[in-house]
This record gives sequence, C-alpha cells and structure tokens, in this order.
Amino acid sequence: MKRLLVLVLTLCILSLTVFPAVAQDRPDLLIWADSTRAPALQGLVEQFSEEYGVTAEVQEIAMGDIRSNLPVAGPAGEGPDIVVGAHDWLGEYIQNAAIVPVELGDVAEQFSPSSLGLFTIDGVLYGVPYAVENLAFFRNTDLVPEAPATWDEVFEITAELVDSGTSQFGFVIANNASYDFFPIMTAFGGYVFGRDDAGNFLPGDIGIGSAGTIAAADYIKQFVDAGYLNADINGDAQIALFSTGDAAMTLTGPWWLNRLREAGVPFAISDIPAGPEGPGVPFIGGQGFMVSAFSENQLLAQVFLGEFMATTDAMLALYNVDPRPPAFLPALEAIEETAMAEFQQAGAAGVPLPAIPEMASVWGSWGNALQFVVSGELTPEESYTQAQTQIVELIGAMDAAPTSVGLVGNFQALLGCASDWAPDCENTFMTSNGDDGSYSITTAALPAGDYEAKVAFDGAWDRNFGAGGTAGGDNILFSVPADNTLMVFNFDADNALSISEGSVALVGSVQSALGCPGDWQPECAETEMTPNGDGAFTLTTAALAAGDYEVKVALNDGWAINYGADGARNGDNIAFSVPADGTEVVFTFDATSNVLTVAAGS
Amino acid sequence: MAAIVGQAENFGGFSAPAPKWSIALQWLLLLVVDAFGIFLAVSIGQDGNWFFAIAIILTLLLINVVTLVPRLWPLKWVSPALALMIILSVYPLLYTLYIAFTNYSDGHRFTKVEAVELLGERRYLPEGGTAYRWLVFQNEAGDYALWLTDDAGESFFARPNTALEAVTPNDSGSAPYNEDGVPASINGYTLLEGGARFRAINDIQDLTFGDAGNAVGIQSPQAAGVFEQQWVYDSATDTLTDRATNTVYSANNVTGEFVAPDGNTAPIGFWVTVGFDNFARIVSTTLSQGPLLRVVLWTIAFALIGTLSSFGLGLVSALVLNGSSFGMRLLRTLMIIPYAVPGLVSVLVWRGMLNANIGVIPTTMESLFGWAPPFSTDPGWAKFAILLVNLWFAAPYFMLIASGALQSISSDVYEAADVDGASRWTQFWRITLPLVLVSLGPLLIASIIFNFNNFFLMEALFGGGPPMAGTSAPPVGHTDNLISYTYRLAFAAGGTKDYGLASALGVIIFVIVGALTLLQFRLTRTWEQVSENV
Repeated sequence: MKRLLVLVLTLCILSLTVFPAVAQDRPDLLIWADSTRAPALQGLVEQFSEEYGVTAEVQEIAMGDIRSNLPVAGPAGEGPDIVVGAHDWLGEYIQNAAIVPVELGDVAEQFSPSSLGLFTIDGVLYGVPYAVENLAFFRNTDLVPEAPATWDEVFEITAELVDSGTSQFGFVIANNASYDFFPIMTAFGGYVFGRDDAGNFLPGDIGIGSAGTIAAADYIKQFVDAGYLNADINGDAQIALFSTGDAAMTLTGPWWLNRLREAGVPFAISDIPAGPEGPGVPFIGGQGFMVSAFSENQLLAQVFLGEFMATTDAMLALYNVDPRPPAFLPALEAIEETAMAEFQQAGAAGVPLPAIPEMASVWGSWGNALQFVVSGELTPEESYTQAQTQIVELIGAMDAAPTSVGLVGNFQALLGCASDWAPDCENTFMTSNGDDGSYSITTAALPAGDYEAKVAFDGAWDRNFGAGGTAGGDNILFSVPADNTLMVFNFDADNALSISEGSVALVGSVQSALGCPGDWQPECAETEMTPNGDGAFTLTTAALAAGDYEVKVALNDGWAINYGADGARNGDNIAFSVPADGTEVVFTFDATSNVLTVAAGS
Repeated sequence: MAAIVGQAENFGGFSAPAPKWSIALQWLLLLVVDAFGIFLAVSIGQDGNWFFAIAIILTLLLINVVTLVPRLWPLKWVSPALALMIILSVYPLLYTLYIAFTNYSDGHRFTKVEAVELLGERRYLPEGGTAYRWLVFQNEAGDYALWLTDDAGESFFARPNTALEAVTPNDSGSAPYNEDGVPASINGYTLLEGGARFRAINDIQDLTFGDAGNAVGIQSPQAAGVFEQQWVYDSATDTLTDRATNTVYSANNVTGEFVAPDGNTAPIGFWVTVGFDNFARIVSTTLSQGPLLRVVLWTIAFALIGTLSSFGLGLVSALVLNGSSFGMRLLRTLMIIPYAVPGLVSVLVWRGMLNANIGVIPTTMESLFGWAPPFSTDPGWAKFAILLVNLWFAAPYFMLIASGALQSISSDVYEAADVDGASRWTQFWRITLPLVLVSLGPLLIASIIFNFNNFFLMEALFGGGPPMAGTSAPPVGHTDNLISYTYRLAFAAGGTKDYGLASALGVIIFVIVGALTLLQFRLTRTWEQVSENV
C-alpha cells in the first residue's frame, strides 16, 4: 500500500509539471464565426496578425453552436474572445453573463444608429454591428410590373394572375413563417410585444392574440379560401416557386439575392405594402461581433473591433462573402449594389427583432398559428387566441392562478410584517373580490407619508407587478394624507394595482329606517360612517325602532369589500337588538382590525 | 457486466509469474495512464467541474488498485472497459440524475461562488470619479505610462506608483505636440502606436497608474479611471451589494437568485437543488394535459410499427434475394444504398419529395390520379410518411442481418420438412421465422428501443409537425415523440434552456427504456432456450 501511495504522489508531481508544458498555447484573440463569415474573417485576421504582431485565429463553428456553446465553453476557459452572431442572442447572453459591454467611442458615429440600437440593451452597447437585415417585398417584374402599394392590391393582383392562369401562385408566404408574417401583421395593427416609451419590449404585453394580428390572419385566410395559397408551401417551396416564376410575389430578405439571380428570374424589390393601419414594417435583425465575458483579453478584443474591424476595408470584406446591408456607413456608401439601399428603405421604419429571452417562447406557437389558419384547421381567431394562451403560459405561467396575492412595499413592517418588501408576509395578503379576478386589502394603520408598493404572487418575487400592470415593473408610489387614513388597495384582473382612500358605509336591515331607499344598499350615502381620525369610523343614531337588526360594513360604496362578524371579510352579518324605540345606538368600525362593534343603549 | 467479470476471474486461475519486462511495461503503462488522468482531473477541476474531476480520480484509483494489488489482477483485463464505462456511461447517468434535482437553466448556470466571482469582476466609476481618455507610452526599460485627458481637456502623465503629473504644453522633456495635442515622446517615454500599441494592451490591462489614492486603471478602449468593484458579496449576511446604487440583494437559496428589497434580481442567478420540483412540474403541467397521452401513444406505435414493418420488409427482401446469381447480388447491393447514404441528406431529400407543391411524389400522383395525399399537413398522412421514410432507412439493415440469419439455418431442416410434406408457407412460419427470430429477436428489441428514442427522424422530416391544435404550451406536433417533445419542452419552446427539467424528463425516459431493456434480457433468455431445443 505504501508503495502505491509513493507512486501516486510521484505521478501527481510528474503530471503537473509535464503536461501543462505540452498544453497548447492560446492565440491572443480567438474568434468564433460560422462557415459563411469565417473565410472572410480568416483573411482579415491574418492581415491583422501580420500587421500588428498580435496572434489571432478564427474558429469555424456552426451558427447555432456559437449561440449555445459560448455560455458553456466560456466558463470552462475554452471559449473565444469574440463571437460573430445575431443581435437577438443578446438577451440569452446577458442572462447568462456571457458577454461584456463594448465601447466604440468616436467610431460609433460611423455606424447606422438603428444598427447600434439593435445591440443596445438598457442604454448599454453590447456588440459591434456589421450588417442589418430585414424583409422587403419581392415581385416578379414580368408578372407584376408595378409594385403594389397596399395588401388589398396584392390580393387583387393575385386573383387576377391565378384566375387568368398566368401564374400558378400570386403572393406566397411559407405556412409557418411567423417572421415573414410580421410585416403583414403590423400593416393590420398587430404586434408581438408592446413597447414602452423608451422602446423597450414589454414581455407582459403580448399582441399575438390582438385584433390586429387576427385581422392580418383573416387577410391570409382570404387567399386560402380562394385557393391562392395552400398549407404545403414551406420555406423550401416558397423560394422554389418564386425562383421558377410560379409565384409572382413574396416577402424575403437579402439572403435570397444570390439564389434568385442564379435562377435568372426577373425580380424587383420594393417597400412592404400598407394595410388599414398603415405601412407594414419588417423586423430588423443585426449581425455583429460580441466580446466574451470569459475572455482574458477583453481590452484587446475591444480595440481590435473598434480600430481594425470598424474600417471600410474590413467591413467590405465581410460584405463580399455575405451580402447584407452593412451597418458601417462608409462601407454602405462604397457599395454599388442598389438592392442594399432598397432593403434599407423597406426597413427604415422596422421594429428590432426583440432580443429579450421571452422571444424564444414566441416562435413555435406563433408559427403554428399561421399553419392552423392556412390548413383551415382553426379560424384565425381560434388559432391566434390559442397561440397567445400558449405563449403567455410559456413566458412565466403568467395566467396561472396565484396561490396568494401579496401587497408588498416599504410599509409592510408598519402592518406587522417581519420586514418591508416581504412577499411572503401573510398580514398583507390580498383577498379575492369574487369571480372577476380582482383582489383587495384595506388598512388604516399607516402614518401620513409617501410609500411605494407592488404586488407579488405566490409569496415570492417570481411573478410581481408594478406600475401599469407590468410584470416586474416599477414601484407604484402613493401617499397617505393623514395618519390612519383608510387606504384601499385594489389589484384588478389586468394586474394593475390601484390605491385610493376608502369610504365606509354601514349596511343592513337598519338602512331604510335611516333614510335609505331600501336595506342592504352599500351605495346609500345616508349610512356612510364618519372617520374620527384614529382609524375608526362611527355612526350614531337614535332613529331605530325596537327590534332585532343585522348589519355589516361595506367599503367604497360596493359589496366587493365588506366586513362582517369578527372583522372577517365577507363575514357573517352582525346581529343586535334595540331594546326600545329611540335608544341611541353607536356603530364603531375599527378600520385596522375591520371589526364593527354595535353599542345599543348606555 | 457481471458475466464479463466472472470470465475474468476464471482467467485469474491460470495466472503464472509474469516476466520482469512485462511488469516493467505494465508499470510504465500505468504511469502514463495515471499522469494523463491526473492532468485531466486537475485541468477539469480547475474549470470548476469538481464532480467530473472526482469521478476521474476515483476511476484512476480503481485502475491503480486493480493493477497493483496482486489479488485483483484478474480484474485488470477488464479495467479499461470498466474505466471507460464509468467515465462515459455511469458518470453521465449520475450527473443527469443530479441535474434533474436542480434548477440548472439559463439564468441559473453558475454556482453561487461563480456568480459572485463573475459579478465581482464588474467595475464602476464611483460618483465624482473622473474618466480619462488614454494613450499608452513606453520607455526603453519597458515601463509603461499613460497620457490621460479628462473631459475638460486637461492632460496628465501617469506612471505606476507615482502621483498623476499635470502636463503643460511644450513642457521641457517632451517632443512637440501633434495635432491632437499629444507629444510623440515625453520624459523618455515614447507614444506607442500601431502594432506596438496592440501588443502592449495585454500587459497594461491589469496595471494601475498613479499613486495609491488615485490608482487609474484601464476600463475600456475609451476610458481609464479609478474604477471600483461594483458588486460586493458579504458571506456573513449572505447578501450582495450593488455599490453603484447602494442596493442590497439578499441571496434566496431556494430559487437561486439575489433579490433586492423591491423584488428586482441581481443580473446573475445561480443554481440550487430544488428537490422533486422538476418532476412535480412534469406531472402537474404535462401529465395532466391531453397531448402527452397522444405523444406517448405515437411513440409506442412508431417504435412497434416502425420496427416490425422494416423487419418484415427486410426479411422478405432477404428471402427473395437469397440467391447467388449476379442479379441477386446486384439487387442486394443496391438495397444497401439507403443504409450507406448519410441520414440527414436522405431525410432532406425525402422532405422535398413529399412536399405537395414541389415534391415529385405528390405532383406525380396529382397528375396521374388527380389526388395526392397531404403528407406534411394531415396528421395521419404525416405519420404514414414518417413510417415510410423509416422503412427506407431501416429495411436494408434488417435485410442485411436477416440474410446472415438465413444462411445459418441448416438446409437439413428444410429437407426434413420437404420429406414430411410441409408446404413452403408452413416451412416459413414453422421453420424460417422461428429460427430467424432466435438470432434477430434481441436485435428487434434493441431496434424498438432505438425507435422509441428516435429524435432524428421526427425532428428532421417535419419538425414534429403538423402542429396539434387545442393544446396548452409548449406547442407540440402530431409526429412528436417523447424525446422530441422533451426537446421542445426543455429547450426549443421555453424562453430559457431548462437543463434541470430536461434531465428530469431524461430520467423518466431512461426508466422506460430500462424497463424495455430488462424485457429484452428476459426474452433473450427465452430465445436462447428455444435455440437449445432445436
């Protein structure tokens, strides 16, 4: 055994000294690029190495693998310094802390602002763009000499061409191409994610089931009903049909240019036609360079990108292998290809392809929805409502019923919670108002002052809502005008929290005797109770005849929030007796404990 | 495995004293294996993957013990196989099992220590700090210095461990200023440009310039300044502080996040064990829904029909082509082509051929009969198409092995049957099929297991489509089987890649396949008994 130990120890030392020396040296800069871009970069990088004496290498890796492997290889120390990828990877990369911000300095002015916008998240630039791309409207100029201005015209032209037998298809779209469907959607008022004023996408506002989207699907359905489109046109068929002249119009991007030219079909590129809600806008996508957060040479990588890649020569070299409109303006100007300008024109008002991680949950259901419409299996409304439901569910099970709805804020400690901002504090759990999906809670225990609040589901932060009903939104500010004001917090089915001062009414079989038109009417002003400044409300009367009565307390002139025996929400009626006509009865409602006490006679 | 070990022990009975050179060779071999293994373990351990490093070390120890302890020498012959099995099979299995009990997914890819470390690398410019634009200088001794310019246009010369020196234009010791207001050299330091500057960058990125109170570091190509660590972790309170906003994030060790009082989370989460949560999610969200049942039924149907149909066709082809004439041999060779062409290529070709608008099969049928099956859009026809393509792939394989099995059946048996007056048909059912099944039965079961997990065909031919209407998330198609549904559930459809959930599903599928394998062993034994009786 001793022999064994000695041997193993010797081996340890041996291996630690010998093998690291054998291990390969890394270049100063390692770049991951896909097979399209790698050859162009290879040339550039060799030139760079020669010129500056810094070793740099390009590794060819499949596009999808670059995306998924950086967060895996990076932490293991095997990753690159720079990756070439698409801007919509940013969300996932940032979520996994895989990339770092880049700074371009003065060079930034030479990039198109929209391309920089694509790579900017929360005001921070995360990549150096080299190309922007978007869909444009393609037409076969033999069949359609003039570019149609509206989608209605597209349908008319299609009907004419197909009915007359001039061409097999008019306008074609692939059966599940949600990306291609987007420009039509927007022309009809549809959207994918809502955006705030700063242009950030709101994952809580999904427009796949919106009226505009459904209207656009109705438009496509026209084609299907008339037999101008069928369910079996996939992406392969779409390009095959257009390049053989069997289809007259379609939507596609610069990546098809070479293939269409080789096919020899006469075509022209124009703007996206307009719909009832204005011109359709395509998604804008960006390709660019990102710097790995796991790189040990981040500074060098940034200098390389800012000073070597951000030059006309380097950008043109990339353009020549992969002709997409350059993001680098001097390079764009240097190109004689008119199609690039036409694409840029078609995408001038485009919407950035959302780079938020939630977008990954959208594609599948969104694409299927179009397929259901084209196959006729579902109506546009059924189809897109179903897709909306699926997406909402995927994005965080937002529509699952919460196990608890907690009011959280910087006032919770005042309400007996262990701390502020405690989503699991039962004292501030809100109570359901019934079937309408709204919840509320009231309190009169807050001192005068300014407060902040939010709502959190399930006793945790995973699902929380702030201003405007936005998931994870900003805190909601409110103020309590005077100590012990009764505050009513109402959280509605749209996840919006409203906060108001509350009024308290005594309701019950006493009301008609007190001047109300009838009994049990929370909206009756005659039995409104008066605040006495310390969180209690009172009503005193001597107008009741002798007999047995039942009462409760209702807040804000409605039944949504009412308190009965023992201060229980929707609790039992409180019974009391008046011994003799004209006995003075004092009703006192403690808005902190929600208990109504009745004192009849002295 | 038990059987193999048993055999090895039998060999042990023959052990004779080994010659000296053999022992020396063994030791040398062991030395190399150990050195390589330790190197592997250390480098993998350095990357933070301690589980794997430990697994390698344990395997290595096993090899050492087996080789060095004389009593265990018999085991040494199987130790390479055992070691590989541990590393490549047992370890991944255990690791998957472990991951199934964690929330390892996008946003939770790091351990807490790693997350804190990563955040700790982020720097910020504290309020009141100055960001300078910088240029780098170097003197003959190789020391670096920076030329700093602040927003007001004031310039400073900064050397390590020396206070910043304000520079006045055309100061003594400096060369004339260029158009940017920078001298080509100053105090014996020369401005680095071009390649010299690029080469200097890796040296200067970790240096600070200026004295202790004002240690200027380089933050980016545009900015240098006194940047400070932005995120500070306090292990005593288990909190993370963002010094830029002075927000304290407390670690939530149940969800794997750092949470601020207002509910916002720190940019990086970490992974934690979550018990049976992933399994509970599978049960609550998927088992309770309709699609899973349909997916399971299709998975089983495809595994059985796909295997049996291709076995049937393969066997028939083998019987028909069981001759030795040139034509037969040519046909047999041609039949093997589908087996030889790369699968993905074949599937893509099939996908094109089945397309209703451009595919050769539907367009031909359309012109001949005026009707063509909607292969890719009708659920039933899509399943039929998948079975068809599977036939194309698998039948040649079965033909190949069935031919072999047919050769092994003695012609005596058929002669005896002829004498007894059995018809060809009876001979096939009573003699050929049972005897072929004896040798091919286990392969059939293996093939069913393979088809049970056939992700490739489902994903490549129609991507699981056509989609199934009326399901809840995630979207699922009519031709999705369990494994492609798993893929959609855990990676493709969700906003995040959820490895924890995928592992949990993997464990469930493993249990199913494991049960099938047990069945295979049992059946194999039955067949063995049959063959003994023949």
